[in-house]
Amino acid sequence: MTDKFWDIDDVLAEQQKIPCFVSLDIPGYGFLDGNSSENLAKNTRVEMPFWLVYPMTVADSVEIEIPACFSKRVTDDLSTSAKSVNLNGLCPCFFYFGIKFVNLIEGIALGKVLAEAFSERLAEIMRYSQSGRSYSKFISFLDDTEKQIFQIGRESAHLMQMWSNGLCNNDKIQAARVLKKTNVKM
Amino acid sequence: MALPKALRSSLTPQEIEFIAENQQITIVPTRAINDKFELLSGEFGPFRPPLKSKVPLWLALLLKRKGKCTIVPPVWLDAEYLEAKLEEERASAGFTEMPFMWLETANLLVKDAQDDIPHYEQVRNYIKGIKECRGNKAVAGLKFITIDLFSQGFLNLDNLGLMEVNEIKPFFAKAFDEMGKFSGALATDKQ
Repeated sequence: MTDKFWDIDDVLAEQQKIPCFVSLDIPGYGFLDGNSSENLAKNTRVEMPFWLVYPMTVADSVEIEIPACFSKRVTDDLSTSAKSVNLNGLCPCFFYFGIKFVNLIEGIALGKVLAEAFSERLAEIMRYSQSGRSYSKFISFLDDTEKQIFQIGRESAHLMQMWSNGLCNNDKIQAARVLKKTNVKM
Repeated sequence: MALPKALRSSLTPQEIEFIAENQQITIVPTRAINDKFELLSGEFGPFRPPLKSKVPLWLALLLKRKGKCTIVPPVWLDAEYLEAKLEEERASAGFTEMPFMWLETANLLVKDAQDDIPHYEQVRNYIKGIKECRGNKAVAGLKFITIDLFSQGFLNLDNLGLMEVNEIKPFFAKAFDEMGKFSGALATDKQ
């Protein structure tokens, strides 16, 4: 689980909250529920980050509820039309978190749904990254992983474009790409 | 690493062009050059028109720019041949067979040796057409990156040229990487 200790994406994904029910009274942890009482009563519903839920599931002290971003409604949407779901709105690290979450619990068919949605969306990402179409609206629907892939595709398409237009003479000093990009919303 | 991301994952088009420039090509010198070129890659010359000789593409282009030779374009850089290729490309689902560095070579020759290519305009259009057609196919091939691919283990992209592979490589590699994570997740699904 901790093989990517320094990976910021990993940290962000583990920060996502999962709603769960505590299966025993925990003395002194009432603050998690937002009330001032001393104890966290059994069967209270609290939202805890993934990194905390993981050891607690192993110890059998919580029961997990499916987070909103992997709810039935979302998975249904994904299997009908993966391309039109706004994953960034659901959870910015949707796929990363999804893979972690699938590994956490057994017996739900979430992994397959995610994998199929991912590959369906890939084709669309490729198409956008290779064409000159306006993409600012399109990438607002992508999660972080997909944005990275999109960016990579864009880079190489741009290099190709420069090359075939004969613009890549390195004897001229050019402004860095970053400076030119100020009007692009990411 | 300090290298920019674009340079880490693949070669740049310029680097590929550089590699392509090392191919041998036939030239017909128009002026006699009696000295030999003693280069690291070998000795070239002396050139005596109208005897043909084989030199690396970069040297051919250099001499061409100075007006000291005409270049004999490769057999496949021919309007009729390319027209047939374009039709074949459109008709088949896979990629048709082309020389490994066709795009780079064609681009270099079209740029600097226009007058040596018969039906230059047509050739240029066919090259463009074939490139676009193959590009679309490569993008369409992406729908085969599915989870099942991991049991199969490879994606078949036969006959793709160096430049074409290079363009899609970073994207495909990253996509594959991410897809691999799902295959791990699926293993737990089945348990």
